[in-house]
Amino acid sequence: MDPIIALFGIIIGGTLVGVCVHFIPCSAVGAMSATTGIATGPTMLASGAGMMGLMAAAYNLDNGLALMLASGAIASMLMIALTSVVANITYAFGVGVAPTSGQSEYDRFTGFEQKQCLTPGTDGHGIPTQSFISGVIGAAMGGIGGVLVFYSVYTLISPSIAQATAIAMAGIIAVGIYIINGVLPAYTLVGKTEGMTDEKFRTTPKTLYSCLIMSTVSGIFIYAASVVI
Amino acid sequence: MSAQPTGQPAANSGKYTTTVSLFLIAIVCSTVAIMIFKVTPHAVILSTILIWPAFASGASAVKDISSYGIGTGVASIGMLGAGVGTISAFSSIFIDIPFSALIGIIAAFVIGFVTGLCANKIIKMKIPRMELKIAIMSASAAMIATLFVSIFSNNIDMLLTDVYIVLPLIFIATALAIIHPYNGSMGAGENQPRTLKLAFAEASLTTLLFGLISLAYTDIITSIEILLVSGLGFVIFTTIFLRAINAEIYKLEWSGVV
Amino acid sequence: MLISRNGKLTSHHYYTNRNVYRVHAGFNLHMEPITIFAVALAGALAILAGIFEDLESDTGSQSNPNSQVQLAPQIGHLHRYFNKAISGEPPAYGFWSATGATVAVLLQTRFLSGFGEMHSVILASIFGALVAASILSFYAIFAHISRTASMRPFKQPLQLDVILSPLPLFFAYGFLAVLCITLISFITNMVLLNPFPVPLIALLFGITLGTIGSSTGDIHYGSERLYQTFIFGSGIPISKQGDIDVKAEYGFRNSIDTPYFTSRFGGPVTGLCFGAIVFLDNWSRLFNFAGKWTPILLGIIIIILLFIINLSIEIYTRNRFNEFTKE
Repeated sequence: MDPIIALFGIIIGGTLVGVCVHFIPCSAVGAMSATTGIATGPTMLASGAGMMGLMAAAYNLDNGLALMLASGAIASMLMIALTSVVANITYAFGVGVAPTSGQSEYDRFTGFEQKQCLTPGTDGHGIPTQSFISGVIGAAMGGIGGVLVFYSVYTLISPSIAQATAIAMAGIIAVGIYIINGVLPAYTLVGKTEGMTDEKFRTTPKTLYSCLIMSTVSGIFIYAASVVI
Repeated sequence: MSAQPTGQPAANSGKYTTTVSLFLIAIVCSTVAIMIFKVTPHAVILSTILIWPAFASGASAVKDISSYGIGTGVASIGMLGAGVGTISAFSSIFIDIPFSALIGIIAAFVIGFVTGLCANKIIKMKIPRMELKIAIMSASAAMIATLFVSIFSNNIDMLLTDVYIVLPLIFIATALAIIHPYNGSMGAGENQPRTLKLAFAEASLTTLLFGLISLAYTDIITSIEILLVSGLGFVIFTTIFLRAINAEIYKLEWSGVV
Repeated sequence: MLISRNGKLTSHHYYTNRNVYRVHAGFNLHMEPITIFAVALAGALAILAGIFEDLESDTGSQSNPNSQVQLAPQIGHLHRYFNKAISGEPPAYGFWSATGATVAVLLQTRFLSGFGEMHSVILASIFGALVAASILSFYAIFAHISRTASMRPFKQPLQLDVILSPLPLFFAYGFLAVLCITLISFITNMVLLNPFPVPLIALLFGITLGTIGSSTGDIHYGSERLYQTFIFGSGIPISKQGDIDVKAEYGFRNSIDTPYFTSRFGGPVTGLCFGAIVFLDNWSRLFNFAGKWTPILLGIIIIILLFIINLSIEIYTRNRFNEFTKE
């Protein structure tokens, strides 16, 4: 990969990571089954998924970028899908509430009426089908973004140092970029979202621009440090 | 202790220090620390002491931002600062000119400032001087990371162990050390002097951990210097912190009904 | 650059030295007995790591349920829970795991000649986990006393037995969780040949484990254990937040009794989730019937199956738990 293409890889990857956070349904109050979504912070949930993607992609480092991106996306999707299913199992058998969206009248995919199962005084609970699908889409984007950053940084720094060091450095820088890009959308979401169907999904452009600027600045610094100077 | 007036706001056990002045202290101390270490690795005892203000400045910046109630966890904002700081510090390893370490710190400040601008101007969070606070947080994290990278890479005997083994730990330990003082003291009676005391205690705990790990990297004298001064600092700062707790706690007892 | 300026790093490598890391030119894993055993062992250890992680976080009321324990004194419920709050579980577990794995890797190279490969890994991991659990304990104690001091306006006292009695418990749980993560990281690096170094793998697994622990197992603590007086299935309205149970069968509730409850369901469920992620991810890489893209195909099939499971859970719960909302 050409260094200048790698720079664009960092920028696109970072921006994808930022946007993916909007898709993944999460809410901290979910731990008290008071809102729809997986019960943890947006940044942390997205990074948890992205980390599994990075790990899976690293196995395919010698098999080309396409396979790396695909395996990263699949591992991230697997993580979000399993977490959603197990969280729903916990809601079902540990708490005794049905997955319900607090904002939608009907589920966009299954058509189930949502009000019917909503506990009075709450804002939904669990992960209904629409949020599940949204989360899986978001995880795929996050996985692809994270792996793109990892591979770009790896191609930037690998000429100057030994391979094992380059892999480790690229991995840790990718983790850093993943996390810093995951934080800004968390502010626009104010800590909770239901995914694509949420009203706050309209704020995605804000995230897009800020993550684009931030990824560009950090990408240019990494590029300058490893290639120019 | 239990004779204090009940239900009053917590007694403030110290003076409030602005984050900017803390940062100015930190940047002078850390620059000296990094430079001293480059000149003579055996002055690491001084470098270890001089890096502690950077932890306090980072923790104070986290407190300043988080106390506005930003809608997501304290952990996230701290990870943002530590992420910007450590990736700048790690990338500056590749810069092959003198004082490359300082370039990493400056870059962290700039990237942090841009991040704050994005947050305030595009996302419209409207937190006063958020740009500066995120920049301070990132630069503090970069200073800490830079010193640790120098300690592990500038030294003897890397035959068996490479510096990249410790990079993940530097990243996450820096993050925790600047997040936790505020996160661990959150509540209505939280005050900055106590948070800073906790920051110093955790700073010395972090350097103690890295002193333990440096046994595998550096010569034994350097490691023992770090371990000794960190252990001593940990005891002193913990004592100061516990005194502050003792003065501010509502009631201290062995056990009982609440 | 700074590392190679010393001229030592590029010449001699930790991984190439021990012939553990190698570039695998063909497809990654194959159906060798040792690989299958490693995949199974990693999955089993991941289940244990998940269980212990969740119990440890429940003991200290870490992560999201922590907000309720934090809120309780403000609305008049003084409590005897341990209030730990180490910066959210994902970074905290990333830190403990990275600490354990870093110490373990550095020790393992020293133990290698004396104990052999396998024993050195196990022995070094134990020491690493001990260091990590010690740091966990320090952070936990600091957080509890400092948060309790910040509760002064609400007259929350600091009781030393509330600190001292759960301390061995979450030291032990934290130790076991970090030990499992460190061992999984060694397996992933050495047997499954992941090119990442062991501490980075531990950091990644730690962050993922923290995420899963706070998003699955903690629900059982946060919405069932803390609100046990509410009828099962009735849900917890937002207006009731902070109104947690502070009384036990006799006396006051404490954090030692919490794992007694959450180990029945919350812990195993977290273990199931993390174990399934680690196992299925590695398992899909064992097969080679469709060339390089086999793991991707298998992954898509697994995700579709999970979608069907999720849908069936949704339908089941909608039929089962609607008596409280059907007016």
